[in-house]
Amino acid sequence: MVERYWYLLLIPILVVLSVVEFYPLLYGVYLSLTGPNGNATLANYSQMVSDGDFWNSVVVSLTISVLSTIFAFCLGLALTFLILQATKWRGLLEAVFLAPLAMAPIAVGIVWAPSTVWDDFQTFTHFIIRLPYFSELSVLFYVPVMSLSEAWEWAPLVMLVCMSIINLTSKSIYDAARLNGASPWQVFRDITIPSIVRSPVMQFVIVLQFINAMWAFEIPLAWSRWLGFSTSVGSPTDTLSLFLYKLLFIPSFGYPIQLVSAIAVALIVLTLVGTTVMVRLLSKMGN
Amino acid sequence: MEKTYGDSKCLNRVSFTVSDGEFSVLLGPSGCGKTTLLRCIAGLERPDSGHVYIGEERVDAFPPGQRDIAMVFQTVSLFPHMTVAENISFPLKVRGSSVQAMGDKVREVAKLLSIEGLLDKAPRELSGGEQQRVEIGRAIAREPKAFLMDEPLSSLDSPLRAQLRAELKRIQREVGATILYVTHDQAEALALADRIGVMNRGTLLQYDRAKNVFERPSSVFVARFVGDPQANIIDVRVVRADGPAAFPQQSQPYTVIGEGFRSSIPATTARDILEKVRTLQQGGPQADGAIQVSIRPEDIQVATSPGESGGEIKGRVVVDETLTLYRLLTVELDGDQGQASGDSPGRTSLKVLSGKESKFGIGDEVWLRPDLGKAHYFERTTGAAIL
Repeated sequence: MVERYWYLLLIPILVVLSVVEFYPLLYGVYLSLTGPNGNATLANYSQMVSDGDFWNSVVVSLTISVLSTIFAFCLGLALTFLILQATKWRGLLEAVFLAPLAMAPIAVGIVWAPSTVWDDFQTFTHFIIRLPYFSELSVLFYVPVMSLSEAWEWAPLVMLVCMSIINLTSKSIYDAARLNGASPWQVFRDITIPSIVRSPVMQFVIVLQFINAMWAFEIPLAWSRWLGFSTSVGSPTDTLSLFLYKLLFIPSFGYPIQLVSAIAVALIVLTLVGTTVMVRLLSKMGN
Repeated sequence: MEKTYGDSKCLNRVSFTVSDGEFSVLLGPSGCGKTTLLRCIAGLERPDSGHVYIGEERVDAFPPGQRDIAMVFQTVSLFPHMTVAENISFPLKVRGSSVQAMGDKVREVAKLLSIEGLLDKAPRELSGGEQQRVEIGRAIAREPKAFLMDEPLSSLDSPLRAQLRAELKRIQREVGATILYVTHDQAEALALADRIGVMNRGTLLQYDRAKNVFERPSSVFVARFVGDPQANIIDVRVVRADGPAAFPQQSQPYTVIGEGFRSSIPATTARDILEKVRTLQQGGPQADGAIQVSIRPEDIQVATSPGESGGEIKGRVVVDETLTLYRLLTVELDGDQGQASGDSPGRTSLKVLSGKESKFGIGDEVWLRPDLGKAHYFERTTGAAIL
């Protein structure tokens, strides 16, 4: 019975998916392929690829995604190393490190912004340690900081996965490494990191982080406000999500919904392509 | 050394010395503390009190890596992302050896263990036996002062285990290694060891030459644990033939009596036993010669009819197991032969060996003649050896 009619069991979930997932997606694709009069056309896409602000957003999104994925991984590893060194209060330390995971992204965007952190930071570095001022308005400063704050949110998840991978590995491997004279850092570098990188779960988390960062919206939105880019497009804070948001909700830009749909489709395609490339890369690294 | 986990004493005043170049085996049932002892020696765990000396040096404060000890674990501990060669050279790499020196050492070790063909493989591509070989290779490569081995062969199947066991012994001779080896398998211990330490419940009961542990067990536990098939342990009393041993007098025949068990014993032995028991028990309630005797199955002769001189114990075969070299019979003793002593409920049964060709079958009446000259006697309450 079940063997023959297994597909019947899929019907409920397919119904739900088609309402909340397939319909909007297909409608978006449909819109992107129609002109103002409802005629079929590729004009939206040709207009999109000739739009400099679109390419700006593609570059911004990819930059932030790649940077924040790398940052999140490194930060997660660093947290893991710290926790492994703690012999006491490990539970408390873990709880503290997990806190960013519970924060709303918009709050992260506000917390990391110039007036809350960086002004005070500069006061310290300039007046106490006597380092020169740096400009908080420079692209070279705020794009990495945006990526870092994205990463800051995800690092705890990386740390959790690292810890569970370590707990699953046979303890005697670590004992053997210690007995062979490896220092804590050597154990971490030569034994722990390779086993973490090889883990399929970790590869999955890295890919997930990349996808998440491709859709980054709240943190760029906050920075866009701080830097005074709220009413313009084409700035270095405009990820594809933020770009789409501005096009839709700032009427003065006058982008037709069909063109916006084409950009939304481009975002999905870009994410899929990026994800595929990453999966390939990681599985090659794992072997 | 002492160590306590919660309420349970894991290591109870354990103290011993492994001589240079010696193969020492700690033998005991699982949970007896032998692995904990090994981990304390390695520095992976911290004892509550006690000291570890390697050579003349006290290493209590040293981290595991500085004790210059290699350890082979029960579970595979090869680094999964490194090749066999990288695994073997890891301890050298950590110490900053040159690539040239590492390559030479890896080849030398691989030759010793005949794993030259495996050097470029990953650990997951190896069989269990090959993995364990590589583990041993990694331990040898760094030329440590001593080796600790925690049941390294227990995860292998039986023929492979025997093969690797012989090889381990050969390698130990060739390298002149000092090894402290832990196992629960008494056959493995007897096959490998120069010296055996028998442990139970955190206590080192006996630490002696392998031969002595087998022939002169210090306690009833050692007698029971070492030897395959297991020794027969029965509750008995030593009495004068005509009654309870009130006071041993010369030239009186003595008898060892248990539930269904009765066998005469040389007068000198009997007097020694009684003397010793009296001192041990200090006139306690049981100061009547109540002891335990351990007789190995191979020290009991079995026959289908009573001999001319008499004195055999009558019994009935209840279990007949054919083992590789002999048959192991379980013989239930007739109840009416001995004196009901009241302190060993149920019938006594003895395990005895017989040749593969012998014609005893289940239910057959047999007569047993134990060789009490080779038996061991133990105090009943403490289990300490008397003779």
